[in-house]
Amino acid sequence: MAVRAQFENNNEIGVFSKLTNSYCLVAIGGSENFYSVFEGELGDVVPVVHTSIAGTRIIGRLTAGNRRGLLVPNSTTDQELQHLRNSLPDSVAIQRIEERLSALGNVIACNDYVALVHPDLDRETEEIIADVLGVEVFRQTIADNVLVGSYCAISNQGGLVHPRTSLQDQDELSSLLQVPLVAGTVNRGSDVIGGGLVVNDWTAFAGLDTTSTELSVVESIFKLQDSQPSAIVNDMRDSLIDNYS
Amino acid sequence: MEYIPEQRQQLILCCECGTAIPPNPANMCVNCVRSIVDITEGIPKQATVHWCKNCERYLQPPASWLGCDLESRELLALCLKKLRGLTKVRLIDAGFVWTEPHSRRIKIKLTIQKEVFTATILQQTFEVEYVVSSMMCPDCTKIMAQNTWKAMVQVRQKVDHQRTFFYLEQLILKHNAHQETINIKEVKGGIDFHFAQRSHAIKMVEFLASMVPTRSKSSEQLISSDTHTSTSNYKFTYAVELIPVCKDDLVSMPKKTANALGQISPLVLCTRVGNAVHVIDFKTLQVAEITGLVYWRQEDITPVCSMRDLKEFYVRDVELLGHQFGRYALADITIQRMADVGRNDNVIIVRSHLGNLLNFGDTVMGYDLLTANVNNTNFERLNTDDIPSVVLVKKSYPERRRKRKQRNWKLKTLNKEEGDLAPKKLEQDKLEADFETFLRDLEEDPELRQSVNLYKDSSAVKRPTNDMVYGDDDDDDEDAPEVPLEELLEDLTIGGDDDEEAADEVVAGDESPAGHSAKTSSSKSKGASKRSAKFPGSGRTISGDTVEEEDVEEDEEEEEELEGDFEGDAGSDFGEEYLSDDDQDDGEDAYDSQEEEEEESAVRGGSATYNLRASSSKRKLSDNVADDSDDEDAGPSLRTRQKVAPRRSTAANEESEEEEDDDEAGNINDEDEDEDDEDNDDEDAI
Repeated sequence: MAVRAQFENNNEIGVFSKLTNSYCLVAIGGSENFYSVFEGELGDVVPVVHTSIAGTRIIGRLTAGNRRGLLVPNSTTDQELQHLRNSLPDSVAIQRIEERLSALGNVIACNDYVALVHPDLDRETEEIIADVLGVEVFRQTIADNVLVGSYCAISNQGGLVHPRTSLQDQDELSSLLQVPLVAGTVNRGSDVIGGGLVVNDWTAFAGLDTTSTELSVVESIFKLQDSQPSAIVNDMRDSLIDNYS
Repeated sequence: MEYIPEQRQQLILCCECGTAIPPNPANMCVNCVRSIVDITEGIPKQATVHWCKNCERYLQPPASWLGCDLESRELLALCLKKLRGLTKVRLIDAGFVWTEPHSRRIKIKLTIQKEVFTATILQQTFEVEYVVSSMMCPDCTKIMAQNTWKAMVQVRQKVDHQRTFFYLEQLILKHNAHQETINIKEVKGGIDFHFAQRSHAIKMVEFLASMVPTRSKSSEQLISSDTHTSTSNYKFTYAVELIPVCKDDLVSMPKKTANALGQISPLVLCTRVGNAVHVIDFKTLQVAEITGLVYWRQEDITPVCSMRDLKEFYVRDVELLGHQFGRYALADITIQRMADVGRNDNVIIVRSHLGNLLNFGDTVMGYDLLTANVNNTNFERLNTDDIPSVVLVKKSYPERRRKRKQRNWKLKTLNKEEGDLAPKKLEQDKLEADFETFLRDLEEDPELRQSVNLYKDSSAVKRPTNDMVYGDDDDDDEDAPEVPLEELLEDLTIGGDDDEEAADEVVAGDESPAGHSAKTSSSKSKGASKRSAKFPGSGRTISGDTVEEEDVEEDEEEEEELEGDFEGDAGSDFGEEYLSDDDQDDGEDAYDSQEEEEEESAVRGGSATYNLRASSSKRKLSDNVADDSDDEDAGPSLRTRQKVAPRRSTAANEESEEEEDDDEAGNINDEDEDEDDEDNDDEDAI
């Protein structure tokens, strides 16, 4: 299911939250509305954790992570780190990274197997990413944007990329990630996908402005429907057409 | 074999309606963008332009009135200024859509651009309809409603001729003193000037006072008053009386007044009327000036004989006495009445100031006091011994000389409205005679000419070859008074109307005998003057007869001064040469064709510049149609044009839009779109 949410009248919820298959981070806001949306969807399955990173609320842009680990920038305070350590499951490794490009969420886009990173990222950081998150790391751009984390959202099921990504690029990225990709928008035509959308393997949260069309694209590419009749019908139809044509 | 990757168009779904579209800054299809924002918002789709039915001019707010044709640039500019919201958008194109002239509607097709979202510029074409409502402009109102004048100057002279007014008219024209008049009306015994403001009238009164001795009286009439604001509305009337003494008048005065004027003789001759009346004692050459102040004090200085009483005499002998003053020289002159010449030997010996000017055999004009019937108390009180038998006034020239020749100059006239009473035939003849006299005065008196603008009469200049036919028996030509060519100003001619008018006048001048006057020409061009009367100040020209040009010698100072005046004269410095009609036509043609070329190039280039297309809206219309079709071929883009048809209901709108979009996208990427559509449909269903 894809759900619409808003953080203090701001539709860029990817800035204020981080969602993976094993945990969810939510910024500390003035009200609990935003938290409640996540808690209502995820509460039974994964921990939803209030946190700040380096005293700020833009945790989604400062952190990167997946099922196995969480990377936080160097500016994260010890207290915050301790809080995260206490809140997250033991299976999740937390690593503080010393990296010039400290907005890790903007420069790293990852699912549980593959990470696309900013071309200028440190080699050491790249190694840490590979070790902590247990992923293959590729230096890539999306539609000529180096901020891969901002302009795409990927899960183990699929990925949504910047609307201007060419078909060749989509094919290339798709072959790297081994998941289907689609170019699209969130928040009524916004191309900052990472900012407007957080997604894991079974749920997605998008900004309140996101239209039903955009939401249906998100749901179909991330295969968020419980039973996937459309996918089956599509597959069957394709094969049927192949047979009878 | 080499693998050539297929170039496919990258498509995304429109975030609103789910149509497959190429990505754009808004990531939204054009129809959706349009349904969300209307860039024509804030621009009125209907407006009103005011138009004066009378003078066919359009109101350019706040207060100016502009004459412009339908579908002209000027009108387009005026219409665009009416649209207030236009400052917030970028105007790409504007052109007229043809409308029936009688429909009183002007339609303009506008193409505008505006940034709707970040880096998203939307272009839209729409029509604005203007209702042409008629509203009379203040100028016309003043003309139509006779009562709008606020102040009036009534100029009167208690004499039985009009010469002073002819002269005054020329003075007014030269100094442009009539600029602020609303209306000029000719009435019996004078002229009325109407003004919109009191100050203008006062200015006129002062102007008149500076030119001739006058006496003025002001009176006011209460039109309305408001007790609450204690304001009241008056009409002011200034009665200006001109001194009744004219040039060449014989003036008599009581002894006492004569003594006050420097012991001058009580019977004097007026030589000039300027700021004061200049008189000369023809027996002693003593001169004096009678100012208005002196005159109006007693009002006992009265003309005894005037121009009309002049008789012609034949000069038999001139005996100079040696005393000279200026151009005058005292002489005893032996004259004979014209009627007596060849019949008897009745000669009269008179003392006169014209000794310098007269020679044996000349003719001279004078007052024959022996036979004159004078009714004047001052004159009767004079000692009969002091009264000469004849007073010579000026040299005269044989009538035949004047008749034969065409004047090579002409005067302008004011646009006067004639009074209620149409002049009778007799009065008209009198008027013509007065005018002829005035013209002769101008010819004979260079001093008088200095204060008047004379214009070249081009129709007369062509003629001098005729004179050769008459033979050259003009031995006494040096005597014939004429206006040197240098003193004449080039006439200002604008457009064809004036040319025609001038041509009319030339014809009139040819037909009528010597006495062609302002009256005839004014009656001739009365039809035209009705139109031109709306703009007081537009001068009309009349042509006089007589006089050829030769013997060109004139002091250069005067010429320069006149030239200077000419330059300074408002609106008449159009250069020495003006185009003939044909030339002007050619010029216009050239201009037209150039304009068309420009326009065509603009259309070809599809320029997005601020491009005002003035004419041929039909062609423009077809261009736009072509543009539209182009756009559709290129698939959905932000640069499409919206029809201004009324909005359909939203449901219908969405449906049809989807259909349209399907059609548009169909030829580009059928499969993808189908997939996506079905995806969406299915999921929506679930």
